[in-house]
Amino acid sequence: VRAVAAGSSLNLAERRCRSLSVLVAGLYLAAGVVWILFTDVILYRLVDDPVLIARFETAKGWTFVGLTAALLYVIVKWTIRGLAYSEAITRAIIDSIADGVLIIGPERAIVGANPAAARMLGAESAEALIGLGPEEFARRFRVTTDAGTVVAPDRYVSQRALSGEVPPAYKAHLFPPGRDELVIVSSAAPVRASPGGPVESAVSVMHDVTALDGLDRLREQFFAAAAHAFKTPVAIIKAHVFMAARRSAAPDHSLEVLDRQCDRLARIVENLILSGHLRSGTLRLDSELVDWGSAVDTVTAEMAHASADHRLTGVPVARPVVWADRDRLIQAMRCAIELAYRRARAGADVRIGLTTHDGRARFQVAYEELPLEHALEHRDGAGYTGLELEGYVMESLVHAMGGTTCSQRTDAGDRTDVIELPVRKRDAHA
Amino acid sequence: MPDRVLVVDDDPDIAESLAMILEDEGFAVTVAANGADALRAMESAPPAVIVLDMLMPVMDGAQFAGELARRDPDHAPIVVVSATHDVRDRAHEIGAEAFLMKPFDVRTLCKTLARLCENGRRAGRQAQGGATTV
Repeated sequence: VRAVAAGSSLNLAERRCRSLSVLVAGLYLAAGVVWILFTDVILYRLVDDPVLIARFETAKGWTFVGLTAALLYVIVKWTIRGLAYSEAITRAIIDSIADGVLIIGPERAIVGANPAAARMLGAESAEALIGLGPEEFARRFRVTTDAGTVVAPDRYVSQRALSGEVPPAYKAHLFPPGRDELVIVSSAAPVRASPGGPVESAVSVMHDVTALDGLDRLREQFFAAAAHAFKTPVAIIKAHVFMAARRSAAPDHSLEVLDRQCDRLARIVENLILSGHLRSGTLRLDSELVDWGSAVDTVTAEMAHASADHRLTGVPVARPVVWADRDRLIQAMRCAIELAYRRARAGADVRIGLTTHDGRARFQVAYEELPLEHALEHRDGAGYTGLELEGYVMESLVHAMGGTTCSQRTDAGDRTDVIELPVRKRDAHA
Repeated sequence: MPDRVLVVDDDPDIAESLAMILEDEGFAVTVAANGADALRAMESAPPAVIVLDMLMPVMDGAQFAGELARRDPDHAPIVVVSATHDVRDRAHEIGAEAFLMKPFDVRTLCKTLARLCENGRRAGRQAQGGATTV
């Protein structure tokens, strides 16, 4: 949309420029014709002497040249003054905005910069940045993506804009020498003198989001630290519940509930920690060939007693091998079952299955869904059903492992949540 | 004679809980609050298995494992129990036999310890048999 809008405004400017030029030239032509015809008619009416006529014609010519020279002077002066004024306004706007602006010339180096750019990059002045090419920029500021990958100089938005692209904005991390890390959202656009004409330069804008990024990281660190801090108390409570249950003569319902809630708390903590990794881009997968059937057995044993209200039924029909991080795959399936427990009608069974079809392995969790009006009652003021962490974690993990997730519903109110991964051969390698 | 488990954890509640459970399971248990205490405790009562936390004051889990390997390359197997997400990597780095992430399942911990003790007994019998043959 931005590209189309930019193209339209360039077309408009081009049309205005052309019509103004035609108008000025036309007026000049018309004035010249009128002058010549009018003065000739008057001259031939008033004077009969050919010598005198020749002298008057010369004077008339000189007068025309003088008048048009004066007119040209006035027009050029007005135009230049107008251009200088508009340039001064543009300069003032660029200098006053908080975002860093770099203008990249056809030689791929910086030909203009505003004070904000100099401030952000730790240069003494905007002029100090002039002449800096992309390779030198890369060496000096070590531009990386959010994930820590180094951005090659030819992939900078400014350089891509210079080659005619209108690249999407992206977040980048810069490390100006002797200064703190700088996090920017960088965008750029090519500059063409005429629509469709060659790119003459590029304008790159750097929006400083260091403070926001720092807040984001702080929030994630807080969640991770809080979640880690929860683990030891939960482990202690679980150990004591285990001991109390062992020493109790008869099954104790309260201890069962305590044990179940400890496990639930442990799962929430795991999901919170994982969501922190996902959001900060620090999730690490230790992928290997995994017997999905055995992973389903593990998660089934773990989750069979996780709900007081629902029975977990079903067994894997197939035992496919997939390329995945076993622990994360188990966590994703755990989330799917947890969601099913929350969404299923009271007392309804939750049925799991593992099948293969067309080279894809399919883990499914089927249940009779809570009617919509009851599901809505469970929502809080913010419109969430609980933290909805499980859905986010499940989808993100499955996508990170190259799989897909989907849900199918029937008119009868049955719902099936599906996790799919490509099947691998047992002796296959990554 | 019961197999001895050395529990090394700076959190007294978790150390006490583990000791209680493991004693109930029939293990003899020694508790140490850090790596340095654990090394001292091992001199008087050598364990069959070591349950090790990683983050501790004075001498942490990695330093303890390093020192232990230096003193006795054939030391008792280590089971790392930690709340950190990289518990797998840390366990691998120090050459641990197994790892469990907090909050761990007590039954899994007991099974792991029983298996390691059994492996140790079997290895001991084989070594004795070998020595007799010689």
